[in-house]
Amino acid sequence: MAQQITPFFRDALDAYLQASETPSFRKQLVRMAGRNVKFQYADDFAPSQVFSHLPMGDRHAGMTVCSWTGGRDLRPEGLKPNEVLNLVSDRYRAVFDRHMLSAFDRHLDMGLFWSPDAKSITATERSTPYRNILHWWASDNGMQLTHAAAVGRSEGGALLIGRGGSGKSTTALACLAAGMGYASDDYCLVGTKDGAHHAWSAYNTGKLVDGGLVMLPQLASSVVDRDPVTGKNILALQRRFSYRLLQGFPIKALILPRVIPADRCEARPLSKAAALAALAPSTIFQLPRVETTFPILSKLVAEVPCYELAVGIDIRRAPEVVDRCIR
Amino acid sequence: MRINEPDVVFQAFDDEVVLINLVVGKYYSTSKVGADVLGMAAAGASLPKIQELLEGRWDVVLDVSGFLLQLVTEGLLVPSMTPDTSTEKFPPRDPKLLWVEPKLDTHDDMQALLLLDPIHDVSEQGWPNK
Repeated sequence: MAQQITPFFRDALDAYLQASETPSFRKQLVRMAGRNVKFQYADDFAPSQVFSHLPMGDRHAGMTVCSWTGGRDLRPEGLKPNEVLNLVSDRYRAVFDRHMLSAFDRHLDMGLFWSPDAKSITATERSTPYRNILHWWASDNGMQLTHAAAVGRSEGGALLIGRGGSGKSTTALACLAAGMGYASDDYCLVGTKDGAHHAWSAYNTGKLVDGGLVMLPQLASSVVDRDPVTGKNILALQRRFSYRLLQGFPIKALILPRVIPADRCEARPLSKAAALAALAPSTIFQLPRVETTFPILSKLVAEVPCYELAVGIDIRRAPEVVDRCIR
Repeated sequence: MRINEPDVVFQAFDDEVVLINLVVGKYYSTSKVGADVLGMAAAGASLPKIQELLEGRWDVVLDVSGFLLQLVTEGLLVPSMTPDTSTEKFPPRDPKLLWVEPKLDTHDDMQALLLLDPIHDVSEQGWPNK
């Protein structure tokens, strides 16, 4: 039986197909979490560099993400910039958020991303693009796109958890600068592999405050942008640190950084409840609601050792302590 | 009473419980006596039954009606006609544990995300209009 595409998805897909008839159209095939993902960029918003650390994909079936800007205006009349429209049906997921459309057809395994223009796409969206689409795709594949940094080795690593501003990114980038492997600073994929909890890299970017760059000057040449909202420097790590970028690892520890005004750095056990409270809400409330999110994160917290990392004035002391938590 | 699912999701670890209200954007934790009271209420126990069960598990038992009211006010517990299974789930302990005043740690730092960007759920037929 032929699959019937609902009118709104068909209209959006038609708009993409029109936009894709352009000389700037290009494709990027990658392997993400062991699965093929094909990005199709119709115009100047083509954030291929954030995925350039991933292995090349092949032509076998996998998710396709169609990305374009401008062209036919898909916004509904009267939608305010801060209003979010959310659709959940058996087949479709869709969100209009800050006038950007993310949509996912679960039957076709296809995502659509559209923005009225490339200039209005935020620095956060540029450094971690298509989060909603990856989130829906991950959910359909037994994984969860998780708000966490991920550092360690291919044999095992740690998720750094906590809400924005807690020190995850700075700690993760300090680990990278110290020679540890790096899979994410903001969002990574979490699931299971061979029966064990596993993290996979999605993006190769990082964000660091000015003070962090002073502490970690070896990262300064990787700065490519600045987020005007948070004031953080956005780093593209593939060019200078490709040899330290990990595809993923078994998760050996969950670590909650806590900045302290002291000259020490130490880890101590963290209660499961505190770990889940640090991990789950910032993932749940920054992504469209999906029923599998909380169970996946709850199981992860229940089965993996959890620590609180008191990070003092010198962030450069954190990597050694993180490494001890992983071993 | 019962946990206000599906608006509220929760996870219990030993003597701690984490709850997240997905609708209003707040999350909570409670432990020890608080976890017992929450669990007993969610298993269908009335307030007098809860006080009675607590006496079998804690060395001193004080009035927990205020804490129970807080759980209801926060939308974590709602009325329910489900059978009371609290007796089996919360047997007496020997020795009893030291009483700790029940406390509900409440976090609303994520609530701003929902207030700043209100979400309108739209059906497939209505999409993309509100």
